[in-house]
Amino acid sequence: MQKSLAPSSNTSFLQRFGKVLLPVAVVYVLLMAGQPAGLEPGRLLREIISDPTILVQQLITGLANAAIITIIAIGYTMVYGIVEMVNFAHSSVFMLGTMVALLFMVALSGGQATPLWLALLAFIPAMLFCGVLNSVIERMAYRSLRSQPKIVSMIAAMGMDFILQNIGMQIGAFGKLPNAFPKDQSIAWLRVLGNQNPSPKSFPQVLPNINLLESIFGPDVVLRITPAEVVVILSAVILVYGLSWFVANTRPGKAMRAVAQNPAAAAMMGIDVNKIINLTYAIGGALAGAAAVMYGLYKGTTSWDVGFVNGLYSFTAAVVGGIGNIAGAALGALMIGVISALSNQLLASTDWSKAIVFLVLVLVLVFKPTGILGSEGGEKA
Amino acid sequence: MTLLLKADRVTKKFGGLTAVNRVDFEIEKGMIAGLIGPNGAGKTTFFNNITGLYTPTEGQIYFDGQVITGLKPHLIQKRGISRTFQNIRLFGQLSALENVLVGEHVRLHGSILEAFFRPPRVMAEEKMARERALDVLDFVGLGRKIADQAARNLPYGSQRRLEIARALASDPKLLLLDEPTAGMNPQEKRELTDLVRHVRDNMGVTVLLIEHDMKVVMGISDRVTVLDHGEKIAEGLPQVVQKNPQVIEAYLGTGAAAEGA
Amino acid sequence: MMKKILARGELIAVVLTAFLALILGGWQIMLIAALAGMLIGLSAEHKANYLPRAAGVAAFVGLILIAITHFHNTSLSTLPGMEHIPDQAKTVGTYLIALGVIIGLAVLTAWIHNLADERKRQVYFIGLMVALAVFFPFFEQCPGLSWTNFKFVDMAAGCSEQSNLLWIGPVIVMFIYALQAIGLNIVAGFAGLLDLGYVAFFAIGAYTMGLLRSQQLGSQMGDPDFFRWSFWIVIWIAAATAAFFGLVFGAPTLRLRGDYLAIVTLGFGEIVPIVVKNLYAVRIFEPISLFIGQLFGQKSSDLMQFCLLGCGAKPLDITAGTKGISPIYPPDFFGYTFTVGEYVPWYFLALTLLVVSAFFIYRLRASRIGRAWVSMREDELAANAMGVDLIRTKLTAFVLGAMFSGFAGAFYASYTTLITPDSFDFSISVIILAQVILGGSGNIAGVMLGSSIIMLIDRVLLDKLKMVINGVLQGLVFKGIDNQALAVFWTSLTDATAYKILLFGLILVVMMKVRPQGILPEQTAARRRAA
Repeated sequence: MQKSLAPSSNTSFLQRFGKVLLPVAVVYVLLMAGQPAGLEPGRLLREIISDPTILVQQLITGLANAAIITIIAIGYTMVYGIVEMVNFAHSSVFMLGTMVALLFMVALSGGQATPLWLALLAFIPAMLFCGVLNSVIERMAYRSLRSQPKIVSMIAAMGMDFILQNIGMQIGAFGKLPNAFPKDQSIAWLRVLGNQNPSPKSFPQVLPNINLLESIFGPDVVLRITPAEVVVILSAVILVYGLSWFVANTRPGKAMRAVAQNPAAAAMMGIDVNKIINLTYAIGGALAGAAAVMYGLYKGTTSWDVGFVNGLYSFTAAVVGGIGNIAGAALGALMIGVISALSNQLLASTDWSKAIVFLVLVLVLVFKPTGILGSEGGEKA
Repeated sequence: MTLLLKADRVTKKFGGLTAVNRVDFEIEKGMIAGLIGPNGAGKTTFFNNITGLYTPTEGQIYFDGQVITGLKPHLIQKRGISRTFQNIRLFGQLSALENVLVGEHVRLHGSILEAFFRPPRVMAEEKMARERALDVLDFVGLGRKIADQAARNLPYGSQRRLEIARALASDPKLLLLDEPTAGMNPQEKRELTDLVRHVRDNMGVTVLLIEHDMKVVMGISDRVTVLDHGEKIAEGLPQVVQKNPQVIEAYLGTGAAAEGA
Repeated sequence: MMKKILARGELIAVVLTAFLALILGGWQIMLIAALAGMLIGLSAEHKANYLPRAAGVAAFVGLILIAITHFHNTSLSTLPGMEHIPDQAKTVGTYLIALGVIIGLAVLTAWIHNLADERKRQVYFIGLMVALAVFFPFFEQCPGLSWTNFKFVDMAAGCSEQSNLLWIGPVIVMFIYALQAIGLNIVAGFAGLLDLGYVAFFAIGAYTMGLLRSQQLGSQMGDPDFFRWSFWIVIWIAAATAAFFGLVFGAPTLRLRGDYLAIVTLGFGEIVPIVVKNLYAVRIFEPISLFIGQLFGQKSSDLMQFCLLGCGAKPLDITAGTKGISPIYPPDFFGYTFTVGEYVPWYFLALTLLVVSAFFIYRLRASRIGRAWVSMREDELAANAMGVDLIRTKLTAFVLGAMFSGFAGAFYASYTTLITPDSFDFSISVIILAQVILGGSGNIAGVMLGSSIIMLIDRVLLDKLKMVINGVLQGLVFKGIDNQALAVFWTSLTDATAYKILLFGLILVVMMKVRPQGILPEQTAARRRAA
């Protein structure tokens, strides 16, 4: 940095030495401290070499994870791109979406097995619900705070997140209602909510848990792809494609880009900025709703706290890809999906996957806060 | 006269845009230098390069015989360059006195433990800092009575003065003023011009100011530098620069809007 | 009409008093009287005859209080849902003392509140608060108790020891949270950094205390009593450890923008309990030899791999996983050993810790460091241009905040004697943040007020409310209906304690919209003049 008068003085040598030594020391300490988590490069390398299909299989799993993460991440990234705020409540909107999707599927199945078309139909109520919810939250909680310091809207968003989480937890109480009216068949489906309010709730098994590759190539296939994975990945592709088309070609889409670029100028051009921001929240929410259905189909279970982990993963994906950038969100999601799948497989406990993804987040934020596809924003004095 | 600040071919690019292009610039100790130019000429960007908010893309900046290019703002402040901002940036919630005390930050040394135990040395230091801050408030013409008022409740003109007081509190060698008279009426402008001269004459601080108002800048500056599109187009005595055809064109060409303000 | 007679603060005092008296029942009459008295005093405007007026209002409120209490004792307590509310204070003497307390405190507070000299006002008010805090353990008792050997001996008829201890436990916990809240106030209130994972440092402090004052590690080393270091030393080690982790977490992340910092700290708060939960079988090798060894498939017993930690037959169990560490030895104090259930010594220990910390933080705020924090919050760029080293200043705030949380954690571990990873979940960060925001971020007194309100809700009111609602449901609504399952459903849906997080979230949102500066906003400098 400082080109001092004596360029080869002792201190600058030490500094240069330190620059090399510090990362080495950090990695060394990390490799020691990471051992309880199973972060042992030697073992990992050996396991992968001895069975390379692990890697390919986890890539497939990671792709399916990434499909869901992408769709949630786009919600973060779009809102951030337009109002520069992390919508903390987004993860809980997603969580409530899973509840809505679950209730819709079970309520309309009438005690029978849920058919695939009904499960796919759940996209509509879930997206509607989450879209409206997110837009209402924007209108009620965030809009009037936009002119205040940023910490104010961040705290409000955090508060919103708590409120929704608590609601997600207390929905479970209705699972006790059928016990009170055992003869009333019209509410029997509420049993899906379980006996304890916060307990995990299972989705109906919609897609058969079979290996598609096996049914095509015969029984000696090592790899495994399930129908749920295919459905989830396909849905994500359709949604991302549809959204890109919407943003690029429609009037509101173009208005959104204009507001993201420069709200003041957009307002002067006659764009109703408030409306566009609200629309962005609505679309982000609707995507969270879609992700919720995908999550239900793929993971088969939900609970009040699924928002946190998936929110963390998705936010990380958005940041890794470069926040504000839809393609970046997809790319980041792919990385996070694969990383989490691999760490689920290879580390000591699935608990640690969270820690690993979080580590990725911190590293990216510290060393490349603009992400992979992000651009350097101009500074202002 | 000795050289205080020297900018050597300073260039700042933002992506494809060159905001400041190979500007050479010198200030001698004890002078009041003016930096003028139409809107978007790169004056504030040049300031930000000197004060460390930006790192120049190319070129070097020397202060008091040492390279300060690329140092962090607080380190540059410590070397003796203090500044004000075009759009006033006071600490609104803090009192006027505390604003000035933050300006003295680099001169004070109390540690965390000393903040708790308040040994005599720190008590004396704080007391002196307070006295000095009150003196500075007096010096810029605000007086001691407003010391306890929240900065954001002060009238506009006082806020401008308070910003100067805050900048002076660190006892700088060089004071950078970014459009100190913006938004003032002629009477206030005259008073502020007097203050700037007062600062130079009685505190021995060298001053570099950006100014839009030609009358102000011509009346006060020992030397004027003109930037246009990031390049230096003229430099010299105010009367001479005023007649420079390139300068007239730069101003008239952009509507001479600055003249009126 | 009521509004015309009473000022707004006084009206609030009336409503609040009535509500508390209804929910909490009779014998807390002294406590409610004290609270109401102070509230009336604080709302007394400086007008002619303000002291008699305060006394008059206090007498009025006091009579309401007595009436409700009496009503409680005579008729209300027989109603369904009210059987959980203690109802001992029935004597006329009690009523008279309560009336004296409310009038006396109202007049005293009104007088202090209207002192012209700012400095005097502050000192007197703090003096009053400290005096009240010191006398609190006596306050909460029925009048006529005597006090021997740290134990309240029940002398008045109808005062059972059990009911006497309703308040002091929650108040000790409140002190622990208040200590954290004023620590978080440094980070969020002064320096303007949103830290959503503050619980991480609480956990670190608690686990340091747990490890150094229990048999957890010692028993694996063959000497169970090895880690029985003095509480008074370990509490400093715990704070230092928390501060160290504050440094480790903060150094790389504090240069991030505000919203990123919020997410990253949120992650810290989540990760620390996960790590703690999983450190029950630790065996650590030298990484390079481990890498080579594992790559070539050697067993860990082979010579190539250098074991550093947990090399015995069994790996080292550091934190006992989800089981948690227990028992943690209580502190000794000049031969006296603190014991579970004897609240008074704990109370004074916590009070001392809190008061000293608050004083420390107050002085920090008044120093050059405090000014640098607030200047950074107000305008980061201008602060930097004025010579404030941003990274260093942020780091100081973050590390000091962590330190106070570490203190709180260490005390908490000793106080509860059992710590598990679950005791440090995310909701604690939420509760502490809500305390800072509600009370008034940046204002130490405000933050403490926020702590007391939130903890009152969290530890006392919600529980009571749950009981009352439950009782009403059982006793009135479902009395004639024979459907136990339906009652279970309604009980679970209306469980007030299950809406804790929702309530605190709501507080955050509403405060941001209505009064982002908090109940007691940060004051400008005049009131902060150093002595």
